[in-house]
Formats: sequence, C-alpha cells, structure tokens
Amino acid sequence: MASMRVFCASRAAQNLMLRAIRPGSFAAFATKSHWKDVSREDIDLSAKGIASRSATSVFFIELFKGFGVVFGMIFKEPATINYPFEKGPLSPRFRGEHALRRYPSGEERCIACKLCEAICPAQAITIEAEERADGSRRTTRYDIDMTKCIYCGFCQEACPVDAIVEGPNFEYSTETREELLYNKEKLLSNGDKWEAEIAANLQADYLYR
Amino acid sequence: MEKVMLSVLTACLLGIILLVVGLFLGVSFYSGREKPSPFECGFDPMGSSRVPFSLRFFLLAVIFVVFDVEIVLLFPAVMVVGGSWMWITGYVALLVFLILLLGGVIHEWREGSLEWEV
Amino acid sequence: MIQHLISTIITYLLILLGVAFFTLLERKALGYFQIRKGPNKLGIMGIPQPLADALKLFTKEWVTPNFSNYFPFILTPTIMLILALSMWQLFPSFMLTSQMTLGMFLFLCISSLTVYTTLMAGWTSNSKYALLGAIRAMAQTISYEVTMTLIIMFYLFLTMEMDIVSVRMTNSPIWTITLFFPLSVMWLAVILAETNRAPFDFAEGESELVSGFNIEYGGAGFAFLFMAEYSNILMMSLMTSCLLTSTLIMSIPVAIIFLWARGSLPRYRYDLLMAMAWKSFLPFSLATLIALTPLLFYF
Repeated sequence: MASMRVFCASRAAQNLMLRAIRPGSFAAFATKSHWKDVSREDIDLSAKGIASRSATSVFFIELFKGFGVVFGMIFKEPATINYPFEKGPLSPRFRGEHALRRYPSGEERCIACKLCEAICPAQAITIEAEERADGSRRTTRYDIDMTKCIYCGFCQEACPVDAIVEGPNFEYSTETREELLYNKEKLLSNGDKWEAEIAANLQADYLYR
Repeated sequence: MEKVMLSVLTACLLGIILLVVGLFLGVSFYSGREKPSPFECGFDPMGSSRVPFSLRFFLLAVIFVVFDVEIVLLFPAVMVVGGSWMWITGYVALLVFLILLLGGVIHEWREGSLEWEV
Repeated sequence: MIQHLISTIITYLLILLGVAFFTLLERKALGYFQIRKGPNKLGIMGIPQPLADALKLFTKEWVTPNFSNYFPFILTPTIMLILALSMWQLFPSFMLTSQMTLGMFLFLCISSLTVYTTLMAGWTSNSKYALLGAIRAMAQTISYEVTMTLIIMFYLFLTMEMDIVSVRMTNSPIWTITLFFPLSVMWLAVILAETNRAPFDFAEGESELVSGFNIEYGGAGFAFLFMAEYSNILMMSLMTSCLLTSTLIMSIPVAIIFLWARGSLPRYRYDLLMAMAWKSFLPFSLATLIALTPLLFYF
C-alpha cells in the first residue's frame, strides 16, 4: 500500500525527495570527482524502479535466484576426492608417522643423544642408552607414545643425524590404544618401509634445513 | 470404519514388531554414571530438566484452540457448499461466520496476542 | 477384508522402503548441492546405503536417560511411526480396497495427533534441549495447522467432497494450482513448517538446541523418529499432488522441493515465523475463503 502511494507521487515530488535524501549527489555527478561512493545506493523512486522492486518482492525473484544458484551447483565437479582410492598431494614437509632411519650400510643412525627426548613438548619420547659391544653408543630403548605426540616435528629438527623423522604416512589408525605405543623395533621397521619416500622428502627439502 | 481400524491396527502391529526388534537388538550392556545422564554441553546437568517455559507458548495454544474449534464448525460446510440443496441463507451464514473469524484474527492482532516480542 | 489387509501391509512396507531411499536421495541431493558427493561407497554408487544405515541404527544400544519416564520414552517413537504409517491408508490409487468418504478429515486428525508425540518425546527425555525443542516444534506445528486446514478447506470447497480420490478427480480437467497460485505457494511454505523442515526447522535448530526434541534418542528410537518424519514429508507431498494437481507423479517434484529448500534457504527467525503464520497466512487464507464463498453461490 505504501509503495502504491509513492507510486502515485508526482515527478516533481520525486525530485524534491531525491534532493532531500542526497543533497550533494548532483554536484558530485557533474564534476566527476575522484571519490567513489560506497554507501547504500539511492532508492530509485521512478516508476520503473518501484515497479521492478515490487516485482522482485511479489514474485520472490531473489528466492528463485537462490534456488537457481543451488541447482547450478549440481553440475559442478564435486570438490571432494575419492579418498581411499585417490589421495591429495602431500608436502615434503608433511609430518606424519614417525620412523627411525638407518645408514645405507644397515647401521642405525640414532646415537642416543636424547635431544629429541629433551625437546619433545609432549614428553612422548623415552630413550635409554648403553654402550654396545663395539664401543659405539646406541639406544636400548626408544619409545614414542603416539597418543601423546602432537606432531610438532621438533624431534626431527633436533636430531643431528636425521635418525628420527616424521614420514609421509598418515594412515596408521589402530583398533587398540596399546598398538599406538611404539617401540624401537616398530620405529625401525617403519624406517625400512618408508625409507625411499623419506629420503626423497629430505632431498627435496635439503636447501631449507 | 472396520477397514480404518484394520489399517491402524496393522500399523500398530508393524510398529510394535519394529519396537521389539529394536529393543531386543539395542540392549544396553554397560551403564556408567555419564552414559545415561541427559545431554549437556560439557558439564553435569544441573537442576530439573522440566524447566518452566514462556507463557507465550501457552497463550498461543489457547488461540489455536479457539481457531481450531471454529474450523471444526466450518467443516460440515464442505459437504453442502455448492450443492443445489444449500439455500442462499446458508451462504450468508457461512459468509458471516468467516467474516467473524477474520474479525477475530484482527481483534487478536490489535489486542497484541499475536506479538511474539515480550 | 483380507484384500484390504494385504493391500495395507504392502502399502506400509513399500512406504518404509520409500522412506529409506528418500533419505538416500536427500543425502545425495544435499551432497551435490554442496559440490560434494553423497554416500557413494557402499555397493553400486551407495545405493544400499539406507539399508546399512537401518542395520546400524537398529544394532545400536538404546540408552534411556536418568529420570526419564521410561515407558513414554520408549513408546513415543513407535507411536509416531504408527501415526505416520496409518496416514498412508489414504493412498488415493484408483484401485482402492476401501474408499473413505471423509478421507481428508482422517488426514487432518492423524496429522494433528503427531504434535502430541513430539511433545511427549521432548518432555519424557528429561533433557532441557529436548524440552525446548519440543515446545518450539509444538507451537510452530499448531500455528501452521490452522492455516493448513483453511487452505485445504479452500480446495475442498471446490470439490465438495472429502474423499481424496474425488479430490484427485476434480483436478483432472484443469489443475487447481492454476486457479489461485499464491495460495499454492503459501501451501508449500505451510507444509514445510508443518513437517518441521528447513528453513523452518526450529524443532532441531542445531545451532542452539543441538538436535531438538530427539536429542536423547539413539539407535532404534531415533530410526523410528526419522522414518516418521520422512514418511510425513512424503505424505505431505502426496497431499500436495492430490490437492493441487491430479497426478500422483507430481508428488515427486514436491518432495524434491523439500530437499531443494533445505539445500538453499537459511533458517528463518522464530518470531518472524510465528508472525508469518498468524498475521500473514491466517488472514490471507481466511480472506480467500471469504472471497470464494459468493463465487460458489454464483456458479
């Protein structure tokens, strides 16, 4: 009803109302000044503007536009990947499951310096060390509690011989909690299993280490 | 009528069979202190759960009852309206009734019963 | 009688099956609306997914909360399912075993009974969220019920019958949706609100009520509530196709509109919802009836 009343207003009244709403607007258009007005646009009080606005609200144009947009999404390629069969790309710096590496000769790298144990913020690492028969210092126990680990990567940053690394594997969920308490044997076998990928990642990242 | 009863009874039977199956398969074995406690966002539920509710809802129910009763009174008109046996006074009565109903809505509106902001 | 029994049982079983696959359709549709795939792993393209869901829900433990009213709590979902199923005896095929003269009346009676089950489910579960959700759902449903009845009455005035098959037959020369289109749009909004569906899903406003009246239900109880809700949606679509168009096939697009609206529209505001029911829909539908009555006399 209100729009109808406005609809019937004369053109002169419209101009008056326009001037009342935005006194400076005409001058601004005339001089083509450099500023850009980002405030709410003027309400179009011409018959055409009023008609189009009433049509928009009467026929739910915006509602149907929204429905149309949603319908159009059907034809887009889904953004998801078919996970167990295809996997997303991983950065060389990805921090996944831990592994203890070996030298190419088969000798384990870890020298039991305990830097990783010291730096670990979650205190997930436990190391015990002894002298081996040949006189070198090696670990007798190297445990990581994977339920405590926060995957910060400090252990591999701290390691002077690149022994403990976080590999690219992230699919190691288990059915029991106990299986997540890793010991040295498990970590070494992880290293053997993922050595190729780990070495490639270290190689890709060596400039920044 | 018997057929309606039969259909409803069939639905009851189906529902009860499903309920028995569900209860049989869904036996809860372990029950601790936390498991059967009513849902709450991270803390133990405090006080009674039968909380008092806003009077607006009650008032709304009252208005609903008024209108629903009037609509029930309208229903017999469906079977006779438009037929040759309905007299002009019938139409006038129906019209007056509907207009009274609309008047009732407008009265409630003016009175403020339909306002939700308290 | 035996014929009727067999037909009823077959109808119910097919409806349960239809509900199951309607949930799959919803998940798929919502998935593609949101540029992702729906369930697509199980079997071929995830088609047996609802069966697996049902199996999962039924084997879940059914935990009853502390201090809940045990028997009402257990029975309410079943009652809801029974009500939802018994509405389907009205299915207006052309080969009926029972033709109900007051079919539409039965539909209104049963659909208004579902309010009680919602309230019971919320009240008996002894949870604040459930109670709040149930009260909201109740207020919303009864508000829209008045308008729904009035709109139905408009179409019944045209047919002068309450039997659903006759209502269908009246539509067959020209669909009544063309007669008064704004009323049909209103009817769509009303059935969305009546079944507590998005954008009017205040019964389970998950941003504040987590899940609404069914929050304490798990396992089979939740499965019942779920089946009842979707069965009601399908019933409402069927009613729409009967009242507004003559072909039952038109209930499919209406059911899809339910999903489409859920995919596109944000949740409404509660006070606006109530204002819409009482200040806009109710006067409008009453005025429509008032305008129709003299016309009926004239013709």
